[in-house]
Amino acid sequence: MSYRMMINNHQNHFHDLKTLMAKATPQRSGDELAGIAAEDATERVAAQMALAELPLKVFLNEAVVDYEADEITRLIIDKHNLEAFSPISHYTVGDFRNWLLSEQATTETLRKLSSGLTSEMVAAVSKIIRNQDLIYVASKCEVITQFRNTIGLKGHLSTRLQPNHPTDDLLGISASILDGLMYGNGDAVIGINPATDNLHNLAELLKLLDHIIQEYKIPTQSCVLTHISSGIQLAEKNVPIDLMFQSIAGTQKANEGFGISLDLLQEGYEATLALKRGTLGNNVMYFETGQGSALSSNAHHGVDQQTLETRAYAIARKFKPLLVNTVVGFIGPEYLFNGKQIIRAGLEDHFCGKLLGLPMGCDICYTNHADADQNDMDVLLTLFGTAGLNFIMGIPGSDDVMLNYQTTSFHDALYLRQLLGLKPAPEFAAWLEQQGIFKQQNAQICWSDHMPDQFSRLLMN
Amino acid sequence: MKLQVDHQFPSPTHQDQWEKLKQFTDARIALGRVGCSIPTKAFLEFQLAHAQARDAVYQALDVTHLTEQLNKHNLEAVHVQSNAHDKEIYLKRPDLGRQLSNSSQQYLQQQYNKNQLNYDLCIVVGDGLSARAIETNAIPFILSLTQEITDQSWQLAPIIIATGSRVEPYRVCRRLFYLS
Repeated sequence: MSYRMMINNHQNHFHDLKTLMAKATPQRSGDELAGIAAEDATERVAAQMALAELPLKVFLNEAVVDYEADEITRLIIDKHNLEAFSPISHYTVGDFRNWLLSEQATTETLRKLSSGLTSEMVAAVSKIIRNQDLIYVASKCEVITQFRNTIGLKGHLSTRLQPNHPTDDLLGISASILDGLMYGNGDAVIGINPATDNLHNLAELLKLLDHIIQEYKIPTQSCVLTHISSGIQLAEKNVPIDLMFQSIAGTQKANEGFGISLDLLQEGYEATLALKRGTLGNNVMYFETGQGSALSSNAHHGVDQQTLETRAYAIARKFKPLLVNTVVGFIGPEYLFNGKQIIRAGLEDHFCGKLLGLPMGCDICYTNHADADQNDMDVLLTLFGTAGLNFIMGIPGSDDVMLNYQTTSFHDALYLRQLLGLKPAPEFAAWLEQQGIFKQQNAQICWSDHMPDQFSRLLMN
Repeated sequence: MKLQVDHQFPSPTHQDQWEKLKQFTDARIALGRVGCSIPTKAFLEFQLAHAQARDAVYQALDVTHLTEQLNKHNLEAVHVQSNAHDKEIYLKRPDLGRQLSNSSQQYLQQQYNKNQLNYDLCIVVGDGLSARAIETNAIPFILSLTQEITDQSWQLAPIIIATGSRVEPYRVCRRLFYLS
């Protein structure tokens, strides 16, 4: 089916749904690289106007990636909950935007609606709304998950403590972990990107994290971000795995590029559940995503990168993750060129993920060749604080010395907590206070005079 | 008016007690804090590191200087350019950085037609995302290789200096030189 929109006596013609979606997407370098972006600003708005008139039901009948050829499309269509969808089944995309912004859309109605929404419906509405709408609507959503603590409660902000080291040196990693804990970070997860992927090394890192968490009774969870096939092998050997990690993308072909399928993810999910390491809840998966990953493996099928990103969330949703992290600026300027594009993409990902019922966090980040800097990250960080993001990264001084990119620091998390009165996961906040690290009262962070003895003792040798 | 020394604010900077752990990692740990924020000195050190990285991305490779240095060591060099003619296009269009420009293709073809030589090895120096890294490391790296190449009695093709380059020009150069 093709779509049309008349602007000043000029007929804009969009060949099919994916073309319409791509042309309606706010400008970004990745869609330009793929050759699917709007030709100019007017064509973009024409596409947005045509998209606004599109009935939501169309998304149940027309796929952007062929149903027969793609297991993600099949997952989206087969798992769609018609009953949950029925209250909005008469809406167009434009009506849906209006409803989301209305007082009818509450935390509770949005929660009930989420299984009735498909990735493409959510992506479509995100294309015709402004940044303030992305923030406001997302702030109404609340997605709570649990493993050893409770993440995502309104008024809370968690952090992934990311203690990476270029050679996986255990002392170096431990030093960064201590630094992060003393700055009140690490309640979402203490998660290492390993420099080396061999099983022995991975097991050593997991044992280190397990030891630290047990020794100091920290209400948090650990993760070593390796391929799920390695994770499964480690789980079989009874290595202490709290969370199973995997990067995911929005098409079957892109996931094949990652060496994964829905079956493999299911296997990893079940292997991790079987370890029964969660104390409060059973959300055991940690997924990472990012706009542009399908294009980078030439598996985009002519679909824009933001729609494909949202399709990846359909995969995440199947496995009830503890954390979903959109690593927004990591992929580079050929996908998101500058701070403006990174900020927009981050807000879109959070909005789309939350509407679909996911515990969204964001690696608010950039690489050295992107036209972005820490000021842009401050803007996105502050916007996310108001939008109700579940978690951010915490890295010593914003500078990841293993992955060589810049993200948010331990200090950045405390800035946001002070500014907006956001708190860590309640169990972790209680631990920080009980350990004598600091106590937070509303927006006030009250530090103790000295490093607590149980930690300063570590420095004696 | 006289300065009231005993009315001066105390230093607001808190140092971290675990500074000695810096010896175990290059990560920016134990930065201390002012309130909850990063103190001025540590903040500016980060700014400097990022500024240097940014400048390195946009710095153009000094092809003339590199060629002179190679010639000084009796190494011939040819300069080729990709289809990414400036840094912004280079950053946005990795596909263009993988293609040799028409004039460079013609030039290499002419060189081959003229010489009809067979080579065993061709070294391509691509500017990539840090011309500074290339300017610092290319010559020492090539010189350490040339000894090995001589020992093996390999025929070394002229060094190709590729600007605006991503990985693919290597393949194109390989084809154009008909490496045996």
